[in-house]
Amino acid sequence: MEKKSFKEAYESINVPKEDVLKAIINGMNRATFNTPKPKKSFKIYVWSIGVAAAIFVASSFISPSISNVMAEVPILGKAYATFNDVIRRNLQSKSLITELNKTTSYKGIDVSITSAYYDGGVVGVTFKVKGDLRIQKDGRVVGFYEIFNGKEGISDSKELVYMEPTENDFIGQIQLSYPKTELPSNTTFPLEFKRIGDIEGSWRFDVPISQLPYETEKIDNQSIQGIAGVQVHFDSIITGKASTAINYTATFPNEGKHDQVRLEAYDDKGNEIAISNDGIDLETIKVNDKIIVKGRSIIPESLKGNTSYIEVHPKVALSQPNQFVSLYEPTPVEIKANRQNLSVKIENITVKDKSFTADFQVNKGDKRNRSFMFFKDFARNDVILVKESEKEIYKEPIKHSVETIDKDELRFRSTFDISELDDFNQSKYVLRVNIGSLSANIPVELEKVKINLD
Amino acid sequence: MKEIKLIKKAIKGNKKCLEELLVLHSDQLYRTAFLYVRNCEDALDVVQEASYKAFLSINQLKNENLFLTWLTRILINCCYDLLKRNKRETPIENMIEQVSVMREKRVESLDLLEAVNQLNENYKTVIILFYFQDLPINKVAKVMNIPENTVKTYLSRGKERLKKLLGGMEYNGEKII
Repeated sequence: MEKKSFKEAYESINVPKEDVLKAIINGMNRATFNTPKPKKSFKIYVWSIGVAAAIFVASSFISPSISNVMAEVPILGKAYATFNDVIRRNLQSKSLITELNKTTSYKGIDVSITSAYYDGGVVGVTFKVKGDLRIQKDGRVVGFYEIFNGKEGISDSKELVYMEPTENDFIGQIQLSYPKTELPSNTTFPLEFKRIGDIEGSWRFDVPISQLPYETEKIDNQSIQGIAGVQVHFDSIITGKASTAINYTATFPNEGKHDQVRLEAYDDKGNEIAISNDGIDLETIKVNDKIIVKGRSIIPESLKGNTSYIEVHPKVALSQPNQFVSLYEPTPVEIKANRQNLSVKIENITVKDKSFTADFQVNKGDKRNRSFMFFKDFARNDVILVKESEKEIYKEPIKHSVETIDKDELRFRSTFDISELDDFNQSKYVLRVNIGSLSANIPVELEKVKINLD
Repeated sequence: MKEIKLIKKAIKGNKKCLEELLVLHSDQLYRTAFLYVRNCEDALDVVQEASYKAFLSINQLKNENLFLTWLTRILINCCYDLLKRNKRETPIENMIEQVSVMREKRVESLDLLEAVNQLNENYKTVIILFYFQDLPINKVAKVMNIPENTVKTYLSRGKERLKKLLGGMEYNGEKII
């Protein structure tokens, strides 16, 4: 019995007979005629050690657990820009940072706000922490804070912050986009640390900020994408000392209330300009059957004098509801995104004693410049057998394996192990296709818009 | 008996006979290579390399009864050569796939072949030879050039390790180990 199972597994390895025969004959010919080994197709080889780490980081951004988050916020640019606060550095060189010294003590831990800036739509704060702190393995201390009393609807209103060690204390910094359409010139904003190291508590501040001189320029450009029913109107541009904010008003249909604007910007030489905070929602209102969102994107540099215009490529990541396929439905079944040309075609469904298999093709094989791994991840995480009564609940998927049937055509086969489900029944289970995870990562592109700066 | 005749002729230098023998065992050669290298292209490469070496050194085979043992040893050495080479230079796209495969391994339970592939060299080879290739313990010992008792030890430790990797999972509904 033991050996039998091993044997079965062994025999399940498909043998490409002709190729194997060819390999044997090639081997024989090489030995007989002393011919060199035919070269394999050319590939770029890299030294593995350093690159492995880099690729691991890169690919973890498309990992299953993160891909849902990815759908919500464009993490990458933001994380790096916040860590390396270019605006602060720039202002510091011009001595435009306000020194502060406000301290709050609680449970033997002193937290002091040491400086602040307010440039265009961006606010930055530095602080230091002293006391008997729990230090992480990497030498840093982690804290948790809220701004604007942690109000929902303000992006990043509750966040973790890492503090770096200095000689006597730990220092940290926070950068945020001022979360309102109107930017008051002198104001305070509420900042409260709720945990430092492993100590829960309350270290509360009203941080005074006064806005550095800035210019606002009204603009009036509009870009529309008819099929998706989305439109983005560019309202104004705020040029600060070390930052530029683009204000826009986006209009989505009712079903697209979670749609998200993403901008790409290029200078007059065609070079991409980094956007550090994209798609900040400031205000959302509903008018008739439309959702109107006032939003802002931040470029961490003052562009005046560097480029005569910026060319903005607006994109909108559409939110799409999950779709479900009944296991009785005759195949093929095509699942289409509502407002975008994206699809998943369930080509075949097989139910056996102990397994359920679905063969499907993603997007008719059209990769839209995305890597194959993106689709493989989609195949693994977003086409899932679920219980009809719990179909919208996200929980650990039923044990399954995904096989690539045709890499170029994006055809996959998912086999679910149903042997441990005591209630499997074709009427009780459905196939959930999370087409939203495709649309969130393949935004619709709107017409480019040119914004003059002179 | 026909095979023994072929082997004798092959040892004497009859290339056609050796070719016939390799073809006879081609499925096994490919599958075993695949168990080690885990992809079709490399498995074919290993089969070619092993065939090449078999043709070059068949005249050194002293005992025709040990043909398959001898061939398997060549094949396994070729597998390790290729794996070593791949460790030094890995094409970038493979690495992305490998990372993804590593991730998948965490996500879902391993299947039997994957699990075998995760064993260390000695355990892997005894398991492959004994379970997959059906070689008796004494032949396994010959291929690996180790005492029979060591084969038994490796077998039981390999199985222990496999059990852990598979988490007592059942394969095709049957308890396998």
